[in-house]
Amino acid sequence: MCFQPPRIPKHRLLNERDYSNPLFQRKRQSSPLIRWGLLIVAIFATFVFVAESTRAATETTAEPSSSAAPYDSKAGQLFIRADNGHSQPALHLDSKVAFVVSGMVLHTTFSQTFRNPSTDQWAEGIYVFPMPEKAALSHMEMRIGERRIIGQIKEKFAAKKQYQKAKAAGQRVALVEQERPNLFTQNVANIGPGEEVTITLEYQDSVAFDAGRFSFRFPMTITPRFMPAESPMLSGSLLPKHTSESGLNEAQIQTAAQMVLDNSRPWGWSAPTALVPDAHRISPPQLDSSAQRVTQSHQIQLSVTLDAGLPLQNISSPYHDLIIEKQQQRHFISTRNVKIPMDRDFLLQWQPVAQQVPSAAAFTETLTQAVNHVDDQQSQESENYALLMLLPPQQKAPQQLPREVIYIIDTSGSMGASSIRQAKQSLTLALQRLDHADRFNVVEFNSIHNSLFSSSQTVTAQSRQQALRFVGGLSAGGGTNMAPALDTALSAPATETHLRQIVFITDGSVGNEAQLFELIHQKLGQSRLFTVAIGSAPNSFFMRKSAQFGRGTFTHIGDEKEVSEKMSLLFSKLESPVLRNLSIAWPDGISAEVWPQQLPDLYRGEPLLIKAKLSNLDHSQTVTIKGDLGGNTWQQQLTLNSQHSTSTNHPGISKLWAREKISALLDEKTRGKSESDIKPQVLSIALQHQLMSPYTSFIAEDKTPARPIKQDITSKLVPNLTPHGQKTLVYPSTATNAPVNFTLGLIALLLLLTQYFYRVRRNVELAP
Amino acid sequence: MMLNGSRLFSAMIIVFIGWQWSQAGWIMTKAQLAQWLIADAWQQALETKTDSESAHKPWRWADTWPIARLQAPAHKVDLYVLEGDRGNALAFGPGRNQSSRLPGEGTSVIGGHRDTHFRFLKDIKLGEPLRVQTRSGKWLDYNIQERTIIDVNQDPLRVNLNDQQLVLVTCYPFDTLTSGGPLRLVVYASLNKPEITDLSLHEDQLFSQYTESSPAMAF
Repeated sequence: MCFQPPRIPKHRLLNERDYSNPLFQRKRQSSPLIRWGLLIVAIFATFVFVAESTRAATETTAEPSSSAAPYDSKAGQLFIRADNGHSQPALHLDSKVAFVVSGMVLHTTFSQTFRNPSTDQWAEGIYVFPMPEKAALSHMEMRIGERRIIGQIKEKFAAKKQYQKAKAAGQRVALVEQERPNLFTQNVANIGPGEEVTITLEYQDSVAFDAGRFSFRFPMTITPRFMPAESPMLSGSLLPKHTSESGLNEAQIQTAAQMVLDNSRPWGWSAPTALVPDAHRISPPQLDSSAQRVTQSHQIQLSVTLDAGLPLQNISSPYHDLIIEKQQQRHFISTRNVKIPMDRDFLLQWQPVAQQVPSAAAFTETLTQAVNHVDDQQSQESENYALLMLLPPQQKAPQQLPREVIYIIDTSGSMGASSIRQAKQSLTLALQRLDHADRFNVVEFNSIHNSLFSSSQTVTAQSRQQALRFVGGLSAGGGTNMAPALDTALSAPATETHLRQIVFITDGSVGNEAQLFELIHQKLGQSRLFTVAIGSAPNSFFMRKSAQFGRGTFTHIGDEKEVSEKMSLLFSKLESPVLRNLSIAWPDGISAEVWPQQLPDLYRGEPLLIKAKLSNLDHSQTVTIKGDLGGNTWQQQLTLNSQHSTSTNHPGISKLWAREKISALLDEKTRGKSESDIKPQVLSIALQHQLMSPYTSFIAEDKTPARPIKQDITSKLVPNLTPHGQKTLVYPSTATNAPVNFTLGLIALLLLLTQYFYRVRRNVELAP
Repeated sequence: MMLNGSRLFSAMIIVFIGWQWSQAGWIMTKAQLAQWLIADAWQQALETKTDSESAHKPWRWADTWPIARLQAPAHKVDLYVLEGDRGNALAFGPGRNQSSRLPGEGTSVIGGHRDTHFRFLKDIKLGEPLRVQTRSGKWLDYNIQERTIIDVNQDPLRVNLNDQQLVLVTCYPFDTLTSGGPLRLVVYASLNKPEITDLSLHEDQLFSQYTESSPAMAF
């Protein structure tokens, strides 16, 4: 049609037949309008209602339904924890992290923004989050709008008390506490309705270097940890040692004191157990990655500035897609998606061009401060810190002694889905690689453990086949009772003729780290323990420390694609001679405080990394490092440049040294030294260097009260995302759309009947 | 003209009703029909007793399989529990959370739709018995200890996997149009006596009860 049709009023169109009848004209003009209008309004209202309830459900701000009241009034039958059946909006979490790498030092700025979407309620957010296990956390600040409050380091209990007091007074306050070296709790109180509070943390770390490649790792979520309830039966006695005179051990006293302060805090999914007295603090809820809420919350924006100081061959991240931009000698790196879900570790690796792989490097930092003397004189006092890296030459000669390898594989529930596949692939590769002179055994464990052979067997075609079948049949399920399995492998009688190596494949998701470390110290003997961390979010602290105490190495496999590469790297370590009995000769006139005091054995491809505090560094000095490599003495020299000869001061090295010292002191605790000896030392070094530790916390407090005291505050646990490729214990979605479908049908039926009724009535009215 | 318009409208409404009710009906039918198919798979699993968990799928393309049989005698409910508690399993039966244990091996967390299989939890009372048959054919008797309504944003699922508990989870409240809300009804039941009871007796008893009525399916 090429013309605009004349506008005909709707009622005329619809009532054409009756329009000529003057008797009903007036009525007919209005009544159909009202009738159709009503219908449209009704349909519209229905859709709005449905859309509204769906929206409410997605944002988890569902209106309390009247039927949410207790349906059974018989007293005591129904506990309603959910605030009288009303649901509460969850806190929203937004994160941002910026990494700056310069040489061997990594500086990270990590911010967490908590938003309270509630329209009337004040909230306290409690977020248990992971951090790299060696991070030296040395700065914290809280931002509310334009206000910035710098956090202060305090003794843990003092900080906790201050936090509670400020929280009760309605002041905005944030407290960061260390639960484990790689697990922290962020407490943020008095976040007003609709408000945002941002906490920024800064830490230093040294980058890792192995087999010619640099890397750093940033964990973003937690695999739920197994909390063993009681001490399992072990071959030797592993009862708690430090029993004080009152009969209670220190841990129990600590726990009791902690409990008093913890009363106001909601617990995680686990109650405290005898072996994991703080289980309620380290078991945060999990949020399924597929939940709709995740599209808005639990996303992170990530950027890296990489100044490697060397020409690079490649930069890669095995778990994320990157965008890399090069400007002069720096690389600016971000993820392809601006925001990524916090459901797995972030790993960045960079490899120098082959000829440029460094064999030694030294970085120093000098801290100068004015010191007031008794006689009112001022003088400059300086402290010198050094980070030394030394790469021993690669030994081509193979290991002399035949090996006895015991593989332990974790088949617990947390290893489900992709993790168990990675573990089985790794183990299969390892079995295929065994030499005929070697002996081996396989132990699998979950709630119970199970050995392939009663004792290690010689490698034959038959025994290997048997092992491959055993591994092929493994599936994940059950608890993570690690101690008995580890004990079995460590306690098996050793032979003089074979070098025993234990390869331990697990995600390390346990809460009783201390007990397991104690076991390793007691039973290690001549065995060497090599840990292989599996999964998207393994407990790296446990894996790294176990390998350190077990005098072996630590391998990380986060994806099936990495299995063969990482495993062959491990095999080359297992099969090559070890550099042992390392010692450092410092030049005359310099005394050095080196941590760790006992230098580790080095496997093929591993560098020696030393952090030292030096008495003076006035002129360039030469340090000599010695060791035994496959029966020969190996020796290398390294030059330390004084601050006067180079202008480069590397900030952060003092923090790394202090962090290493704290870590070494705490290792003494796992070796049985009492906490009362360790704590004052750790506390003094942590306070001096402004570092987070088990005994110090960061607190930032806004002096002005924000929340009117009459209003209540609700504590909310902020969940972690379910690790990528894993299934965890989360609530299922258990409602169907059937009621909605049925109701919509019902409403439509009513409409139909209404319309029918009107038609009938009209026909009656029209009848002569 | 007017008649045509109104007829068209009526027809549209009828189509709409048909669409919505068939959706609702399909959810219900699927939930019930599948249980019959699963019953066969379960019977086979009991007879053959193979080690492979996934050997007995109720239908060829199924991505889940029965792991237990759950009965609530007081409510004349007899259900087959599937592996996994995602939508793919829950449409056909209650599902075990794969991070929890199998019944008899520890605490088992089982989720079910409030509108279909786990409707009966609405009327459940403390002390009532629940019975579970494991893959080995063994019957386990549980008693309901606690019922709790929780907000998933506030309370993580608190279970001790080393206990011998049965934890049933369904959406709450029951009579609401909203789906995907944050409230859950969590029912905790504890194992009474881990003994093998007479299988045949209960089989007969419950079969007759099941055929009488199936309140789990009531809308």
